[in-house]
Amino acid sequence: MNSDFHYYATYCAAAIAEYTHEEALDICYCAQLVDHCTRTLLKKLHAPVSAATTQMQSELIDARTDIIGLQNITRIWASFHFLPRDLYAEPGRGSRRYKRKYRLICGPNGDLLVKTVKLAKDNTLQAVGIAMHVLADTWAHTYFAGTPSLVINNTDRDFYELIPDGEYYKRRHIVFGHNPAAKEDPETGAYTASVYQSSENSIMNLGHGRAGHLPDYSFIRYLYMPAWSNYEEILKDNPHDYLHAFAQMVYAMQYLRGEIPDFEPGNYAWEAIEPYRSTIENLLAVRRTDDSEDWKALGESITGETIRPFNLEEYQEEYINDHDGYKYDTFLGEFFKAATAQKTMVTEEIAKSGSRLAGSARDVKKSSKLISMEDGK
Amino acid sequence: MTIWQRIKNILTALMLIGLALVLAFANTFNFNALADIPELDPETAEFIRTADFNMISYQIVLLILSVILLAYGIRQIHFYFSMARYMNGGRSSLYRGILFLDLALISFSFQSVPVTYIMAYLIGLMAFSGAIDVFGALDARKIHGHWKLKLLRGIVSIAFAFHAFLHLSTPRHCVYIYCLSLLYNALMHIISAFRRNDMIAIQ
Repeated sequence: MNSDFHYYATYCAAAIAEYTHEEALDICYCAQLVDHCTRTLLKKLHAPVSAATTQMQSELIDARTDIIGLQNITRIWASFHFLPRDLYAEPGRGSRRYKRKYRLICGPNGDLLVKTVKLAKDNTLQAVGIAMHVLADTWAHTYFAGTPSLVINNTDRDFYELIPDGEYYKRRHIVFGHNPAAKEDPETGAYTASVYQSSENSIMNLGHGRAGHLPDYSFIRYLYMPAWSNYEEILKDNPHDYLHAFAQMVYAMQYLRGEIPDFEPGNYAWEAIEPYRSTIENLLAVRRTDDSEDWKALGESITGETIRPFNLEEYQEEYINDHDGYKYDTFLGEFFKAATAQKTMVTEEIAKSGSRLAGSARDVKKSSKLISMEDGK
Repeated sequence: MTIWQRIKNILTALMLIGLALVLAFANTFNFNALADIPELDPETAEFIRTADFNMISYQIVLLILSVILLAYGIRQIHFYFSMARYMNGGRSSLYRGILFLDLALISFSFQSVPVTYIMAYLIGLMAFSGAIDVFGALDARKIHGHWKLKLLRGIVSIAFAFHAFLHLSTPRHCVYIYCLSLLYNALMHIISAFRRNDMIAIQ
C-alpha cells in the first residue's frame, strides 16, 4: 500500500470511527511513518535502531543474508508489512525449513492481527497508527511472506491482469520489467518487479518484490501462481480487499475507542462506512497509481478540516532538541516505543511457534537503547 | 549485492588469477631443470626431473573445477529436496543440480587424458558459459535489466574460446589464451563486486 491509503485513507477511517481531526491526523501520520522509519533515519535522530519499521533500498542492498541478517530483515518485514496469518499452518509437505517459511505467509484476520490491534488498546495514538498500517497491509500483501524466500515469494510467467470489460473481465498477460527507474503505466500494462534470483535467501525474493508494486495498487485484479500454491492459480482482487481493509480499520478503531467491547477477526464496520461506500468503491476502482487526492477530498468532506500533507520532518526537531530527559514521551519517542512493542510481540510469537527466522525478543532488545532513552541520554 | 556476495566475487577473482598464474608458469618455465640443484636429496631430484608439470597444472585446474561444480550440484539437489520440490517450477533446481554433478564428474575423469582433449574441454566450457551470458543478457535487455556488462562478458568469452580453439594444435598458445580468459573473468568479478545495483522497493 502507498501513502494514499496509509495516510489519507487511514485519516478517513479514523474520522469515521469518530476520532477528532487532530487525533486522526496523528494516527494517519504514524501509519505512514511506518514506511519511513528506517535504521538510517533512527541513527540520524540518535534514536534506538531497534525501532526500525522498514528498510531503505540502500540498507537492503547491503543487508546480510546469513541467519543474523535474515532475522533482522524478517523482524521488520513480518512485524509491520507482512504480518503472518497463521504461525501454526500445516502445509502438509516439505521440510521443517520449508514449513517455517510457509507459516510466515501474510494474510488478513489472523491471530497475530488480533494481538496487534489489542496491543494498541488503551495505548497511544502512535500505537493505533502502527496497528492500522499493519492491518491494512495484511490485505494488500496477502500471499507473500516478510522474509526473503524463493520458494514462497517467487512468481512465474503465469501472471495476468484482469481488466474490466463490460460485464466481464479480459486477461492481459503481464511481463514485468526490471528497471527501477522505469515509470509504471496501468494503461499499457508496464509494471516493474524484482529480478529472478535462484538463491533462496536473495533480497530480491523478499515480500512481493517478484510481483512488483501490484499489491500496492487499489484498482488492480491479478491472477497468478504463487510459488507455494502447488500450481493453483490465485486471484487477488485488490478493490475488494482494499474496501475490506478500510472497513476493518474503522471497526478496529471503534474497538480501540471503546465503542465495541472486543475485536474479533472477520468483522467489519459496514454500517459506519455505508454513507461513503460508493465513493470509496469508485475511487478504489480508478486505474491510477495514486489515489491521494480523492482520499484527501473524502477525508476533508467528513471532518470539514484541511488535511495537511505528510511531512517526515514534522516531529524530528522536537525529538532531537529534547534534552530534558523526556525524549521517550515526545511524539516520536512514543512511536518508537509502540514500534518496539509491536516488533517484540511478533518476534516472540514467531519464536513461540518454533521458528528462529525472526530471532527472539531478546534480539529486538539487544540493539535497543531503551534504558538510556528512559534516562534521556 | 550484499557485502558477503561482494567478498565472494573478490575471492573468486583471486582464485581465477591464481589458476591463470599456475597454468602460465607451468607452461613458461622448465621446472624439471630444478632437479639439478645440488642441495636436493636424490629422491626429490628424481621426482622433479621426471614430473610433467604441465600436466600437474591442468590437473590442479580440473580438480578445483570439479570440486566447485560438485559443491554447487550437491547444494542445488539438497535445495530441491528440502525446499524447491514444493515450489512451482522448482524442478529446475534439480535439473541444474544434476547437470552440475555430471560436469563435475566429467571434469574429474579428465585427469589422465591427453592435454589437447583437456584444453578442448576447458575451451568448450568457456564457450558454453559465454553463450549462457549472451542469452542471459538478451533476456535482461528485453525486460530492461542490466545487460551490457553481461553481453560483453559473454561475447569476449566466446571470442577467447574461438581463438583458443584455433590454436588447439599448439597447446602452449592455447593455454596462454585460456589464462588470459581466466584473468578477464577475474576482472569481471572484481567489477561486479564494486558495482552499484538497483532494486525494487517494497513497502
